[in-house]
Amino acid sequence: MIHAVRTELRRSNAVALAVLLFATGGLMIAAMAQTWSRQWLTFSYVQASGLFFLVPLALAGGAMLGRRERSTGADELMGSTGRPRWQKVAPPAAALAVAVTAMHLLTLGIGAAVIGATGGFLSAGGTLPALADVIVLIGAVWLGLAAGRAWSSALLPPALAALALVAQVGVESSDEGSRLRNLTLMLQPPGFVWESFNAQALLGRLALGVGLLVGGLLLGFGASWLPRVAGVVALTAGMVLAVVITPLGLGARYQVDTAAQRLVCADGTPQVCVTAVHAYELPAVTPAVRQALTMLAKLPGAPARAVEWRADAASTFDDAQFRGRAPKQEPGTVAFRVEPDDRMLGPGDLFRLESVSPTGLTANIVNGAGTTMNGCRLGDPVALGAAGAWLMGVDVLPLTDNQFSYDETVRADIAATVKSLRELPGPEQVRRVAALRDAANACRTDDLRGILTGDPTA
Amino acid sequence: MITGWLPLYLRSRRVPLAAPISFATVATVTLLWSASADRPEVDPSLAALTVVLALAPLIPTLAGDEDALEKTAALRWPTRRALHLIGAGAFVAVLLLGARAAGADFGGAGQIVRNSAGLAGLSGLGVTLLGTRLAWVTPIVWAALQAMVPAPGGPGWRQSLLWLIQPGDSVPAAVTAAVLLLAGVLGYATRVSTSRGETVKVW
Repeated sequence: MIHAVRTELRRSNAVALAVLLFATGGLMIAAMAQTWSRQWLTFSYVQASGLFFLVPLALAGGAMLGRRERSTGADELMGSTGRPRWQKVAPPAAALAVAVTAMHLLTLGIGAAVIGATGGFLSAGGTLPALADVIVLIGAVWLGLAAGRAWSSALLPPALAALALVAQVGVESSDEGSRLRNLTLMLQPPGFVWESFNAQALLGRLALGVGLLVGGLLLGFGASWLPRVAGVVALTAGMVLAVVITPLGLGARYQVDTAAQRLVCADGTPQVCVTAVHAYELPAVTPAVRQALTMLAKLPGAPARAVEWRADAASTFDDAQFRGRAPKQEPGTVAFRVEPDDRMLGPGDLFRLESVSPTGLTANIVNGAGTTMNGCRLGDPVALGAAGAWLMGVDVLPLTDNQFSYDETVRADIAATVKSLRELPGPEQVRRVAALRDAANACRTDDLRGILTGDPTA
Repeated sequence: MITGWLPLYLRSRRVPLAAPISFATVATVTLLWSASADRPEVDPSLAALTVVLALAPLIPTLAGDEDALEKTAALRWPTRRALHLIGAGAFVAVLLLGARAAGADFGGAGQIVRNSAGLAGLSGLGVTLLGTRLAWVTPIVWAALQAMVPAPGGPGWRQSLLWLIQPGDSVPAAVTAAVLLLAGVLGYATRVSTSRGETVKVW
């Protein structure tokens, strides 16, 4: 059997198909390098979203081989040998399966090597989506093979590929709440780099893969109507299961990966910790964060350690999701974000990889006297910015945090507020900024500007 | 007599099978869209991919069973081949423009003509460079990648790369489509790919 498969690998288009899938998938992954740079779980999302066009190509590739077998009469030649039908169909099907599996795992391996070599976080869990997708890809080539054997027209491969693409984009256009949307292989992105696919999302994908695989197998191998009908049933069942199992909605397919969120701390004091997915940033982040802690120490009761902010659930891309009326922060700790830019939704110039800006990070932390990531609803950006600018000794903070975008009016207001604050006696300045911090940390964010100016508006 | 030649030519290229399939796919998308959506404007990604869907069955018609044998006939092949490719693009454009009457708007006339012409040119280039069997790969892959990033605008190179989803007045997209059409028509008219994927000069 191994010998037969090896012959088929040389005789069939399996290797050419694998090269095509590898090149096109690799092109897309390379073009999205900025999105997944050093992030293993994001890479697994990017690779999985490539199935949107890899599956149509795999269908067409299988169909090309199937129609060639039929139109060259190879199947008749094989049919004249006295062996069971499955033994005649198995070698080309196995060759295709081996080729697409090798292609997908090679892509995954290259991704892991690049991320590992650049110091990113790696985990075994991040390989699961690719393993489920291998089943989907094998199912797609086998289904294509069966289709090519059934109808050996030259029109079939391109028509099949285009149809699979249009069908996926078509279901995307259905209603927001329609479960039919689960039939597309195009994925909504995760909100944070520590999010991995949850069990339902993987099971849905697996159900689709098994449906395609069993359907393709029965339709291709079946010599009578019974297995063929069973093949159609299996295919339909796989699709229905995928539609039903897969969760629907922004962020619904993701979960927080606890290993990815594990804290990694820098040596020395004050303590600075980041999540495992950002551990490679620790050398760049630590001095900037410690400088921010020094600035915050101008106030009494300043925090003694800084920890990267961590979401407790998968992001639904709602600004208010992680902000409420109850403080979530441990006392004596300030929370900060390592990557204030949104990887998925940022403008993202191709191939431009941004690293953390130390001054920007310091400014982001002292903004609001270290209260902007404490889980409370954000208060007046002018008051927060003025408190930060006072601590940093500047007129307006050089923020990189995308939660704050200052226009000219806000900048002028901040500068004016800081100026009038600095004109007060020293102890009064400290008292007001500390009062702002304590109010913000207790989620009393309604009138922060009044605390700074001593002139409550409420 | 051209009237005697044309039906034979079209039959040798399997157009009588491909054209109805192309028509049927556009009709299906149009019907499903007008039945399910509450507005006539089709999403840009779906509109771009529908052009590919309509063109896909026509790509294999760009070669007969044995082009190398055909070239021995004393006919003006380059003109005929160029007309075939342009005709395929025009057929798709007419189908999509006609869909408006059935309640599905696949974009402005300029956009439809640009996308049909550019993709037809790309298919011709595919036949010239990759051979008939793989000619569909480039149009389909390029269109699929664009459908994944349905964000028009940006710098010129980006508009040129994502030319299918740009609005009708985008100059880089129009230039890209024109270049593809020109290169495709010239390439396809002058070079014939054999069934083994090798290419020979027509003259």
